[in-house]
Amino acid sequence: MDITPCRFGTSDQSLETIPIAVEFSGGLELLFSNQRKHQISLPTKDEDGQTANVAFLVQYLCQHLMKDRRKELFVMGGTVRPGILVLINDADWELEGENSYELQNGDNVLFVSTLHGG
Amino acid sequence: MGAFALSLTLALSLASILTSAALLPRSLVCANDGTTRAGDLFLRDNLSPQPPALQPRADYSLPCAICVPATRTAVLIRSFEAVSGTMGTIIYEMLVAAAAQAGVTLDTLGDGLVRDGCVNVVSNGVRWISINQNNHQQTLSVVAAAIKAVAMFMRGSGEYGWVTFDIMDGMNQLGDLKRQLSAAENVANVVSPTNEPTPSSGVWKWPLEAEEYKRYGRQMIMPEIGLQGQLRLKKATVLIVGVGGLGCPAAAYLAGAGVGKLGLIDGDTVETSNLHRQILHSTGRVGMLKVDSAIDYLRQLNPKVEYVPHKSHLTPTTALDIFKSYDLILDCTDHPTSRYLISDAAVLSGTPLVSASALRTEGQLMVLNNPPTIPGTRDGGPCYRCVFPKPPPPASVLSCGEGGILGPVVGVMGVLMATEAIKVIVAGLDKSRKVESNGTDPSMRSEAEPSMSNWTGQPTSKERHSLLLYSAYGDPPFRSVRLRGKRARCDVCSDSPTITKDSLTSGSLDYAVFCGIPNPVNVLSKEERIDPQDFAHRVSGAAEEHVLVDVRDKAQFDICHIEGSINIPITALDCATGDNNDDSTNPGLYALRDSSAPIYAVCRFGNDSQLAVQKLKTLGYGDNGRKYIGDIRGGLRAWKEYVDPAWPEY
Ligand SMILES: [Zn+2]
Repeated sequence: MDITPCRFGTSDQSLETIPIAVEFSGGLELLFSNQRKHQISLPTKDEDGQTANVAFLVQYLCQHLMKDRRKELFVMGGTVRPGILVLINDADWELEGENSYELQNGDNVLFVSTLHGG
Repeated sequence: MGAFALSLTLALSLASILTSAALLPRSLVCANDGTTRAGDLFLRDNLSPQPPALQPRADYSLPCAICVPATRTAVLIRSFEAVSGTMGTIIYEMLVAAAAQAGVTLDTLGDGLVRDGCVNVVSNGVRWISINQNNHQQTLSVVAAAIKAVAMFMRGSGEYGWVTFDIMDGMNQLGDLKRQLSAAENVANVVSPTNEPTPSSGVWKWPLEAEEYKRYGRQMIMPEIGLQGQLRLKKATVLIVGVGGLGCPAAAYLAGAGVGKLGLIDGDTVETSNLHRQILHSTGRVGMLKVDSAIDYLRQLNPKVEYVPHKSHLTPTTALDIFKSYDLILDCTDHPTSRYLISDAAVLSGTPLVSASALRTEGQLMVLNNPPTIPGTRDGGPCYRCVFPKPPPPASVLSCGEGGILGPVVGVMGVLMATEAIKVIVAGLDKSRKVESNGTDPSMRSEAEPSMSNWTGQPTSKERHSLLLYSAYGDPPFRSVRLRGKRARCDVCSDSPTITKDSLTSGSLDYAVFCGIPNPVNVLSKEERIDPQDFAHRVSGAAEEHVLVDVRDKAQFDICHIEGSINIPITALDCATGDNNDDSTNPGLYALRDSSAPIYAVCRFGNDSQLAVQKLKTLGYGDNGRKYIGDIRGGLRAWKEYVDPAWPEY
C-alpha cells in the first residue's frame, strides 16, 4: 500500500497529513454532525513529533471534528469511553495495538457504540 | 400397489445376487475413472391415470460421465411427479433416513450437482447420493428401505409418479446387472394393482414422524442441515431471554425449525407500542404477559415443540438454575445490566450465547462463549465481558422508547439470531462443557491446559470471532468486523475470576450498580421550574408574552408540539457557542436573542428541558438574570396529564 504522506506545497513537517476515513456508528454519528463517514487529513505527527497513532486521532477528532460539547459521550480518561468499539480496517483495535497503532495512509477507523435495545 | 412390494422384493433379491457377484467384468466404463452404471430400479404407481412413458436411457444420458471412485457406491435418483413438487424431497428424506438406520455415511450432493465438476445435471427431481463405502449389500438395503418408504408415502398421499434409482459402483461389481434389471423393470411395469403390500409395511421405523418429514423437508434437503441436523435441532433446548423485538422473530424461526424445547423468559406485558416490531403479539393481547402471548402464537405455528414459560425477569440468583436446562441461550434483552448477567451465567453454566441488539436503524450481533469457555484456559470463545470489560456510562445508554426503533431492523437482527442459533446447534453442541446440575465444573478438567497468564487475546488460527453490524441507512448496510478472542484478565473467563457461580447465585453481584443508574435530572432551583397547569394559566388568552422552546429532536417536534412553540433541539444547544455564529445555524436562537420575553423550555419528560435552561443561561440568553428562563416540570407527559388530555402521547 502506498503510504506516502500528502504535502501541501511546503516542506514544513507539521503540515504533512495522511488521508484516512473515519466512520461513526451506533449513534456516535449524532455527535459528529450526524454524518457517518468523514474523510480527514490527519497530521502525520502530533505536537511532540510522535507519529500519529489512534490516541492522537481520538484527541484530534475531539478537537476538530466533534461539534457536540458532550465530549464525555465519546472520550473518558483520555481514551474512548467504555462501550465504544474501535475497529481499524474492520478488525478490533485490540488486535492492532489499541491506542498505539500508527495510522497508515488510507486506513479506515470505525467507532461503534454498542447498542442495547431489543 | 403391488408394484411397491415387488420393487422391494426386487431390491432384496438384488442384494442376494450381489453378495455372490464379486468382480463382474466392467461394462460401461467412465473415461475418467473406473465407473459403471449398473441399472435402474423402477417404481411406478398404479394410481397414475396415464403413467408417463419411461424414458429410454439415451434421453437422460448425462452431459459427461458420472465418475464413481473405486471406494464408493453411488445412487442417482430421478423422479417424475405429476401432482405436487414434494415427492423428490420425500424420497430424498427417506433415503437419508434409511441410510442413517443402516449406519451408512451418505455424501449428499444436492440437486444433481456432483463434486469436482464431473457432472452438472440440473433437472427437476434429479438427486445424486454417493454412499461413502463400497458395500453393496448396505447400499441396496438403503435403496430398498427408500423404495418401501416411497411406496408408503405415495399410498398415503395419493400422489403418483415414478422414481428411478441408478446404482453405480466404483468397483464395478454391479457391471452386468443392467440386463437383469431391465428384465425386472418389465415385470414391475405389468404388476397387478390388486397385490397386497407386505404385512410389515405398516410399521413406522423412521427417526422422525411422517409429519415432520413434510414440515421440515425444505430445510432438511439442504446439505447444511440434512437428517442429522434436523435430529440435532429436535434434541436441542434453547432459551430466549426477552420476548420483544428480537425475541419474537427469533422464537418464531426456531419454533418453525423444530427445536425440541424452547424456553421464554420475560416478566413484561404486551403494550400497544410493542406491536410494530414484536410480531408474536397482537392487538387483542395487549395487557397479557408477553410469554403467554408468545406461546399462544408459537403453538399455532408448531405444536411439536415443547414450550417452557418463565414469567418473570431473569435474576442473578435464579439464572444458573434456569440456564442449566438449556443448550443455547439467546440474549434478546434491552439493557446492559441483563446483557452482563446473561453472559456471566452463560459462561458459568458452559452454554453458548447468541447476543444481539438494535436501536433506531442499526443492529449488532455476536456469538459469544462459543465454544463454551473452559475457565483459566485459552479454550473457548470470548464472552460479553471479554469484548466489553467496562459498562458504558449510563448517560450513553438509550432504550428503544427513548431513541426509537425501526421494526424490521430489530426483526432482521432477531432473524439473524435464529440463523446463528441453528448453525451452532446443527454443527453439534459440545455438551462436555455444560456445567451439569450435579455441580461438575468444567474447570476441573482444565489442569493440563496451557495457562492464560501470557495470553494476549489474539484468537487462535482456527477460530474467528466476529461482530456483525447492520445499518439500514449505511453503505454497505451489512458489515462484519473481526473481534478479539478471550481476554486474559476477564472477570469471569480468566485464571482468577472475580465472578463465580457462588458469587452469582448468592446474589452478591449487583448488576444495576455495576452498570450505573442514570441520575434523575434535578439541576434547577424551584424558581426555575413551573408546573404545566401554572404555565398554561400564565400564558392563556392575552396574558404574558413569552417564548416556549421545545428542545426535543425535530422529528418529535414535527409529530406534535404546543401551538406557538419553537424548536431548538437540545443537541443544537449543546453545539452552540453563544456567539453570532449560532444564529445562522439555528434561527430559533436568533429569535431568543432578539426578544426580552421570558423563556420556557419543554421536552418529553422534563429532563432535557432542565439542561436546556442551564445551557441557555450559560450562553447568555438570560441577559444577566434580567430575563426569566425556566422549564416545564414533567415535560409533555405532565402536559397531557394536567392540561391537555387530547395531547397525542407517542
Ligand atoms: Zn470473558
